[in-house]
Amino acid sequence: MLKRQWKHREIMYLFFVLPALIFFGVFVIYPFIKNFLITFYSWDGINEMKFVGLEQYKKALFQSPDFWKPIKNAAFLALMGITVQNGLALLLAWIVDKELKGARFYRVIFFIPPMLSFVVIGFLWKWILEPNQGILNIFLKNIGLGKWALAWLGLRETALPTVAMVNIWASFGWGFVMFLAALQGIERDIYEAARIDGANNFQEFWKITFPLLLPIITSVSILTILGAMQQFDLIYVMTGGGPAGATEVPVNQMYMQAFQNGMWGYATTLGVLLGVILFLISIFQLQIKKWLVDW
Amino acid sequence: MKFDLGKIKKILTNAIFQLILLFFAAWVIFPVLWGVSTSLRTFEGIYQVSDQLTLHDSATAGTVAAQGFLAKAEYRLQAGGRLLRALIPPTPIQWRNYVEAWKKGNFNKYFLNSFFYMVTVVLFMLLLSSMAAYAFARLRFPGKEFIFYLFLASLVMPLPTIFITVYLLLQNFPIYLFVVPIISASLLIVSAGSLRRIMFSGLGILLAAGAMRAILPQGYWLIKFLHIKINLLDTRTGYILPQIASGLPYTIFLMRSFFEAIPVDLEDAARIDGCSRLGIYFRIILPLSRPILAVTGIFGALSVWKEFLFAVVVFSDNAKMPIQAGLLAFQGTYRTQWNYLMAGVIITVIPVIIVYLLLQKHVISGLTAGAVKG
Repeated sequence: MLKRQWKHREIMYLFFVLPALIFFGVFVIYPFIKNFLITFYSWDGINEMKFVGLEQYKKALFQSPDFWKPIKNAAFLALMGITVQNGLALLLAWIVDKELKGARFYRVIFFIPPMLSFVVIGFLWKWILEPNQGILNIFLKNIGLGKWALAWLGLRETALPTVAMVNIWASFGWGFVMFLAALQGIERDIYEAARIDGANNFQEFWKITFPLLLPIITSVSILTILGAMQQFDLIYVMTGGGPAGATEVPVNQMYMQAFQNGMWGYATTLGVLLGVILFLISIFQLQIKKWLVDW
Repeated sequence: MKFDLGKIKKILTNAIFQLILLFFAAWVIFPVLWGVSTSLRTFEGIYQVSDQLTLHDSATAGTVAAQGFLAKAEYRLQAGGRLLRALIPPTPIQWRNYVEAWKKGNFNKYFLNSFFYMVTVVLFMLLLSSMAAYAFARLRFPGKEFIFYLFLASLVMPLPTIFITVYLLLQNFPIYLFVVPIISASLLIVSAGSLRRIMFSGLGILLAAGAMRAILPQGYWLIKFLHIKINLLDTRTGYILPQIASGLPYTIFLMRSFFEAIPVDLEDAARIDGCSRLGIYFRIILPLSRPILAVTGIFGALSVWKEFLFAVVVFSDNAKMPIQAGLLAFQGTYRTQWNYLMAGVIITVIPVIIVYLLLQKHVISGLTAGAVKG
């Protein structure tokens, strides 16, 4: 290839990009690199940094549950996200797309939770789930299901599923809107043709709608996973990671290691490892997309 | 006869669909309505919920449990009805709670803070990203691919994985991090005419900087100045800057694809009339891209309004906190007074819901524009 001389004008065009690039470099790229470098040091935030090599990676990956346990919890949130949450989003989008009575109304309603912040959602649900005065338990006792009136957020077995449920409530609207948009992009003629061939609702869904939606389903699923792996606000407000670490998630753990235990080097190590996992998930998505296109 | 059967089936499926929709709509809306209901009760009124739910006749929970399936089902349905009725707060309705919560929670301050952060972050983000997106969509310049992929890669390194280092950076923010890139960038561009000259002058600047470090004494004012560290923690600047940066990549992608769809002829005509690129950007592209600016602006504003992690990390001073963190501080003062707390929660929700209902179309189209393509 011939080396091309850049015209003065063209180099001046860099001015369009540079402001964004400088901001981005200072607040994203520079911390990213520095974050990586700090992982090799043990540091309490005040005294000298001490070089420890891969010690902290070893500790996070093999010796303590500080990394894998939160990842497992976040993976549970993610799994609930891609199955229950996206399934629900898809079901509701599919029904609303049929343009029954009141479809517009439901479209507005289902997108309300994504408008709310996780702090607000956390408080709203915390109040409903309150062990003694919460409406859920009062209601359960009232209909004779008193044995189900649990301290939902206080028990080790129920805390994580409960938070997962709230997370589903909070986020299924995103998937709903995206699926609905994709559904509305499908030509009506295809359905008509299927009807004439005698397909029922469910055949129609599995044979036509689902395959056509596969690309967007993978996109939304990946976004759901990435969102769940980075969850922090909801956990912070609802359980603070408790009881006994049952709802500990990675970002939460990083926050604790740094700001409460003063182990800054270790906290950044956890951050890098989380980053690696997110990166792998994204790569995986690209691969799946490629397969879908080929197929 | 056959025709009828089909019709009945259709009505039945429709009814089932409607029931599903209704159930989930109730599930979505109930927590919000319950929050509103709680916020309008007196402190004693909160404890009347149990009374409101209980039947005041012989049928108590114990006897119901002993009854048959149908009776149980009927009782439970009734209980559901009473649950709906419990949404209505007992009189007198406490509108005062809102005034009280607003005053005690210092919502004046939090609203103003959040509003300020929203406006500054969104304005800067839109300006920076639309300029960059325009360049990526239309212009040829050195390093275009590389810079674009740099932004692309950042989607994979989200802020939550590096927030600790950003905290450390804000704690000791060295001036040279901002000064050096700006000076060298402008020097490079103004002086250079070719890629070779850029590389030479870059090398020159590096050498000069190295020589400066070597020759000048440690205490020299220039070095001292460049090494001044500012503590940006607990400042508004420290909260705003990282958020602008983190919002850039996604906005740039959305805008780039929008700009690519604008016909080039328009710009060509303007260029023939002697309009510069910057002039084209400000006079033609920006006015034409109002829809995408609105969409990304709304989303940016919403995400700033909802932001929480950075607020917790950066601020320890209540006076500068945005509304979500303010809500948490407010909870501290009202740990068990759920009526006040819910009033506080609803106060932060109201503006968002209003904006959402007004701009519903923009919000949803913006979301799907990014998604369906991606």
